[in-house]
Amino acid sequence: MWCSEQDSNTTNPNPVNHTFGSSSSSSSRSSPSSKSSMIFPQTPRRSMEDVWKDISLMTPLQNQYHQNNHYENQHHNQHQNHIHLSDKSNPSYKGMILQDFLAGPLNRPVSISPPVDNQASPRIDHATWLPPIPTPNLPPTSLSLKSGLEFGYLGNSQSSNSSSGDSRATGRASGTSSIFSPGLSDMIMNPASPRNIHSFYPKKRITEVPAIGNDRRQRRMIKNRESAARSRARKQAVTNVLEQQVQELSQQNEELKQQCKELQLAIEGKKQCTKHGLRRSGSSKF
Amino acid sequence: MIRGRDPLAVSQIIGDVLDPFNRSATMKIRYNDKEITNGTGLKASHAASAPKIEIVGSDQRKLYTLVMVDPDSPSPSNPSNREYLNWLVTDIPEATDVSFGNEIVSYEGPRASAGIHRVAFVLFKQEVRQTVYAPGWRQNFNTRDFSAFYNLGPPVAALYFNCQREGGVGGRRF
Repeated sequence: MWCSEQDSNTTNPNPVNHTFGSSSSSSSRSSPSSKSSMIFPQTPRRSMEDVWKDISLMTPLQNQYHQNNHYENQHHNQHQNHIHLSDKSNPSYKGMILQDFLAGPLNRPVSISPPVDNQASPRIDHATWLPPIPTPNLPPTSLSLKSGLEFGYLGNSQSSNSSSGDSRATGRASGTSSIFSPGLSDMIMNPASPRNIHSFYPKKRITEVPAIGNDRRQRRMIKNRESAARSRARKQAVTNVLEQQVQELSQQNEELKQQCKELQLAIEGKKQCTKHGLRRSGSSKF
Repeated sequence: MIRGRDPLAVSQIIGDVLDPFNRSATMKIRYNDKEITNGTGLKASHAASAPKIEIVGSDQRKLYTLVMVDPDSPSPSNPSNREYLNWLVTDIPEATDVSFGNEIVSYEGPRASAGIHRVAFVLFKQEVRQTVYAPGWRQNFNTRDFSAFYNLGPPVAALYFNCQREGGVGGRRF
């Protein structure tokens, strides 16, 4: 799983436990880690408008984000770093304490105006961002580089990440635009968002992955998938043939049985006839 | 990808090798007295020598052309030689065995060094007795093009089996 792949991500190897603690990766994560066993807070109600606003915010950002150019993103992030925490060890986010953060994005204090244009760097760390829904681009098995992002978000101290993850992670110190691993984290954060629907089916991913990232594994996976599909087709074909045969044979059987019956009746009939008739047979020469 | 119940479609023989067609003839194919049906699994050794193929019917004036191809050559995950021509026989009279026809390309047992190969027999009906020229090489044969080139029309019968190598497939590759 992606968790175990990350050398930095040692504190919480259990990938299923999609808490934010599991995603954070460095020592100072201890605080978030400890809080990772939290009870997921409820998100307060928001008006639909707010939610939709967030969504419209999210979509262009997210699309851009997933242009696979994470370095660029990170660069941007560092640019407008004022919103990032410089203090890596501080688990807070823009003055929020962790609990507030964990309370959900929907109730975050809006301190910065959201980017108006689509060209805005994917500083999705703006207060009102929704955690990005895991896009098809990042299957759970996506490793190293991308997964660094996924876990970088808790905002701090991703220093112990792998180098690639590290550079990015620091940029997104405040857990910007991280991609949540699918599953619980999404559901917890955004139970009310219409986009949550995706998160209820976290495992269904479209298979075509950026061909660049993590080649061998992806290729192997794709090949295996194709092989499995062929195998299933073979199996299905054999089953079909057998079913066809069964059908034909049963039909034949029925017909034969019917014939048998009729023949037997005929024999019976013949027997009856001969019983009553005289037996005449020629025995002499003339 | 699983379309319908026809094994030829399910296995993508109709798709990779042929277009959908209407069956109007029947072949009975026997390898060493084992009759094969769609999807039968055979080891390469079993299919090393030419099978007996009987075209069911009674009118000996009708002539058929038989093509045997392997669309999964050299391996199903990488079929760069698709299709590999194993056998090509023409002028086969109905109700007789293939050996009565004109063998243009001699029989070659399917080479299944990697993976499980589908091997297909395709039967075309000939309008006239015609000369068919052997292609320069066996690989990258195209049955569709072949039938178009010789005006054979759509196939009248097809049958396929699965062929793998002796030791079986799968397992760790060292």
